[in-house]
Amino acid sequence: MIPMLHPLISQRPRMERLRIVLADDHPLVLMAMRDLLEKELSFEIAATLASPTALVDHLRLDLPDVIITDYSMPGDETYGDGIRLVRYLARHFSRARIVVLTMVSNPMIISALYDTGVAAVVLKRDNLAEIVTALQTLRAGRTYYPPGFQGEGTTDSRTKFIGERINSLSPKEYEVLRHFIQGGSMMQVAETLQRSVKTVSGQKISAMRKLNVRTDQELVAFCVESGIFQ
Amino acid sequence: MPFAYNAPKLDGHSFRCAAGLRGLFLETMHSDLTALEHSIATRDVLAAQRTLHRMRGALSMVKMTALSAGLGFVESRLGRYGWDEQAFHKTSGLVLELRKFLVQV
Repeated sequence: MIPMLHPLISQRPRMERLRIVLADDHPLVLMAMRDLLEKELSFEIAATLASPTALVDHLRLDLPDVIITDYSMPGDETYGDGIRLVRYLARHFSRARIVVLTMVSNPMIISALYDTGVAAVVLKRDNLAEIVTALQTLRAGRTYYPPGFQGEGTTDSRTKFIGERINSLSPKEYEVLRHFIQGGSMMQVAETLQRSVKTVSGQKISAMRKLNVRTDQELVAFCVESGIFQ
Repeated sequence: MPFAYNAPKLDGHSFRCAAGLRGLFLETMHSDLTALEHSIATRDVLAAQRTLHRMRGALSMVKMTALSAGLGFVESRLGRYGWDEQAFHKTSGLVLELRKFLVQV
């Protein structure tokens, strides 16, 4: 005898499960994400990886529908992290949609991520369930923006915003940043510009305030993305 | 996985996570605190920033937003001024606060 299915089950449209790969260098974040997403029947966690190299190696063998990656996974010399890694993923695995999970809330960096081609940026400071909302938004064929972030017209407003910030730099601050971004230590920058270390450090701090970046990593990401020295 | 572990408010901090995550939270937080203490001792700015960033991610997962914000302040200050007196005292205070908190969770 063939068992009867419940009418609601038999009539339910079949939905393809979204295959997801998670990458984060913190085991707690990986486990929390996995725990959350596995409760959703429409998602399938294909793999969890702890480094950019492990992620890329896995993607070469098995490409998922969605890559969820942490923005900051320092220490990987092969693929790096941040914008560099995201750009690599977007270029080499363009058939997968990229979701970036991050503690960074700088709007310029978030905008830069969208410009790179990511489909969603989810802030770790927001409710973790936002990741589910983001994935459902992607499934519907749309781009997800974090709460409070203005997605529409981003490029225009960002370009204007960045232009204003860059124009606010003094010529001396600009020169310090240019040498710093080329890889010089503050001592080397001071020697090159024939100023004291204290002076160039102060000018770098002042420039970072004007550009609204908090760390050296954010500063480098800003300079690379804005093309300020190209 | 059993759904939630809600510790009572401890020292003003609320802690909420899936029950299965509690052990991993404690283990990784102890390990990160040890790494942070080493960074303080060696005055290593980059290592401290990395550990603080990692800890902020973990604290956000368990909704400890006040402590996460405190670590964010130190991470930002280190990026701008290095190990100045304020960064040193604030970081040392946060380490003590977290150690005390972890004993109670």
